[in-house]
Amino acid sequence: MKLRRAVQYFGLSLLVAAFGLGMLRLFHVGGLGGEGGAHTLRIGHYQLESGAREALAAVIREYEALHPGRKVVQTAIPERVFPSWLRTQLVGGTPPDIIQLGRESTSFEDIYANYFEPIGSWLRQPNPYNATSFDPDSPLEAVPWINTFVDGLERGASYSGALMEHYGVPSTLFTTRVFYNRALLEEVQGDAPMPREFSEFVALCARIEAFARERNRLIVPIAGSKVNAPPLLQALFESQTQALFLNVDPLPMLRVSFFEFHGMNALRGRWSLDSPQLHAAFSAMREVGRHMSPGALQLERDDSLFLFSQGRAAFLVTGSQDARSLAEQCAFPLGVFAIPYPSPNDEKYGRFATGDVSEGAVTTQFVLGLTRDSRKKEEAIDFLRFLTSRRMNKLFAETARWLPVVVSVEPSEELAAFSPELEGYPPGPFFLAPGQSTKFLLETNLHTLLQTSGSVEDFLDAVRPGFESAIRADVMRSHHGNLRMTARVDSVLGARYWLGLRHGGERDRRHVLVTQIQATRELRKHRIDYELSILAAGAAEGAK
Amino acid sequence: MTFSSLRSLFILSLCCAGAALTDRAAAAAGVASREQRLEEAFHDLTQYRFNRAELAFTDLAADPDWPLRRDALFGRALALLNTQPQTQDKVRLAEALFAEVRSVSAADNLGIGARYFSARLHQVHFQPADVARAREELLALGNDHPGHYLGQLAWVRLAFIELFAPGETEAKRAVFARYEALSLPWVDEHLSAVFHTVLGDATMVIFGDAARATVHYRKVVQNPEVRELTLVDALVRIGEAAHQAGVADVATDAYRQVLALSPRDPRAWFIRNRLAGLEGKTP
Repeated sequence: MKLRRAVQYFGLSLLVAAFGLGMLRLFHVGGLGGEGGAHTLRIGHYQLESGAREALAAVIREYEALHPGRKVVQTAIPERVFPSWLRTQLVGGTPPDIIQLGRESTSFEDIYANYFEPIGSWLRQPNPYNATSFDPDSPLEAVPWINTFVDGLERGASYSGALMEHYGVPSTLFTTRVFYNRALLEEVQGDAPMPREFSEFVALCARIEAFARERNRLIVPIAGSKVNAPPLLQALFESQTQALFLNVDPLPMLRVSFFEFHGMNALRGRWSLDSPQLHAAFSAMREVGRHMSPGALQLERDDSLFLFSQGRAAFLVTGSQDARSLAEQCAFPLGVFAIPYPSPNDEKYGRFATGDVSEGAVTTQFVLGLTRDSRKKEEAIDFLRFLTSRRMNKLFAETARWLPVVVSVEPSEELAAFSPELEGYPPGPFFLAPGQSTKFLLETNLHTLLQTSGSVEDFLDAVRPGFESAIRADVMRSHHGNLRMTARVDSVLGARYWLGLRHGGERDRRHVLVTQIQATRELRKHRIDYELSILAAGAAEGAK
Repeated sequence: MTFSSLRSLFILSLCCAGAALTDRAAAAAGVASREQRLEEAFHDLTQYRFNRAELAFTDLAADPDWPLRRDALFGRALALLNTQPQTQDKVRLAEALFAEVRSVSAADNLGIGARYFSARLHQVHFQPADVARAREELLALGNDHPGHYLGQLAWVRLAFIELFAPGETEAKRAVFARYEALSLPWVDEHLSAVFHTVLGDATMVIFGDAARATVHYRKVVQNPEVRELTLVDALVRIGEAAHQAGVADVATDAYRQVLALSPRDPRAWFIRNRLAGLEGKTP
């Protein structure tokens, strides 16, 4: 009996201890982010590239020096686990005050709406850290904060079109470039200039292979991986097909905005795998893909970085965000040039080439948002203003060796090669990511195009049997996603209608925008329904 | 002290801690009036916080004597369309709530709202959709209230349904003619812009008639309410449709306006090329 009582007391004491520890932990965590945290602001982000944390730390040091007593703590979370971490923090009610936006996985509108603070009212005011009292050369003193960013915060993770609110401010933008091993290429071709066009690039790749054979060295022209190969292959695909896709769509928009339109154009026979532009595109992809490291599409990003940094590959195609990491990891001097596209004069690929791709639509990055539960919203906004002021954006960009994003902050000379190219035709639909089914079909057969013994015909023969059903599956998936969003907007439109009645019957700008957004969605829905009915009628006729 | 009394004390302390926390939260939130809570709940809907809004509307509608109970019912019906988990039972409940709102008056603003969204239930929210019934209810609403905002929005929805309905292309010409002849006293110009965009896009998709589509697209930009990206898109539509139809001066004018309004638009390169071609210059 005594033993039983002792066990009960022991169990109870364990429960009390656990409860006490839990409460202690709860208040401790709350204290870090809350009122008791001695003005400590917490930031969670996933930018683990070399230089990013150092750059943010440099800005934090300046901020803490300017505001004695305030403290800012950054926590970098690996990108792969960031979405899970984010959800846990938000649902658990213990998020940092500031969180990087852009990796919310699915239903980001729900996450923005429920857990982040709209910052539009702050954005419409000038940023006090752009005042001449803080930055004597500033031309942005009276400029609203929103207009101090190069893209006006129109794109990327800063703005939610569905919610019609701004939720974050960026610190940089990324562009894709070809990095090269300057020492190796000097060995191969002396001081000859770097290729500017596709044919020159392919010729140089062949020369590198010949050089490796002659010297019996293990060198490949391009370090490829499942992350680094697609941007190059995609660019070449677009160079041949962009005009085709724009011209076949019946809507006169000069862009194919939604995948289901693009897919429907294939189902209606407006383009096909046998279109000459696609043959040319696959041929160009094969030409460059053959010069990548063997099995490139099965390799991880780290594999290609390792190969390149070991001096065993001449080229690596990656984003400007890797510039500092590469400079630190590579023992040889680095060079950079833009992806070389086939020019209209190209003997083989000039027929369908339209020129360079514009990077004018490149989205801003490292977007930081304010969490709704933060008890230090004003302090957090103050830090975000500081971080994205002219002076601090320059410090951030120079420390990280990333591109600046604030108007009138020029990139340093070493970053000039990464500045976005604004001339050229707009990027088109993703070849390797139009939808899950098509992507899977193309990716699993890409080896028949890229391997030495492969060919365009082999690839098309492998893909053709499943192509229509894959496109159809993706069109329907996209169509159903659009239907779900259409249904969601009804609740919003009804609420805006009621709020309009409440405030004198006037429909504000947002009400107008919601109506227009829903009209665009319904056009998508009805057009696809109509074209599906034509396909069904055609199939029924064929069956007869 | 016995084990059971200790256990009771512990549970009591947990309850007290919980109550204290709840009390603190309530105090922090402040006590909002019911009217304020109603407005906040509608604001939550605009921000996609459907579950939170639905809870508030349910609570507010619980008082049968509250003068704004009908508004709360309307809000709850809207919220139910998107609360998680989404079920058809909730859509049926929303239908019943809209009917209750309508039963008081089907002709005041809230009643007309309930009629419009009831029709939308059949068009969008019930699975499978009953488009015929949605069409019938939208047509009745459009005819009963041609001068009301939602009556006119009903005509826009009808245009989508009827113009893109499955059927022979030639048979659709009469439907198009009917909508082109529709003369509504638009209470809000942005509805007219949406209406003509629908007609223009449907003309392009179904008939590929760029000249006829250009007429509708030009009516969109005549509307002073059309601004920002919508205006740029509308101008691109005019430029491209007029270019296809061979109406060079209209295309040129539209392209120039796009470049002036949005020089960094990703399509600017194509537009400059088009313009250069029309003006006989090298881009």
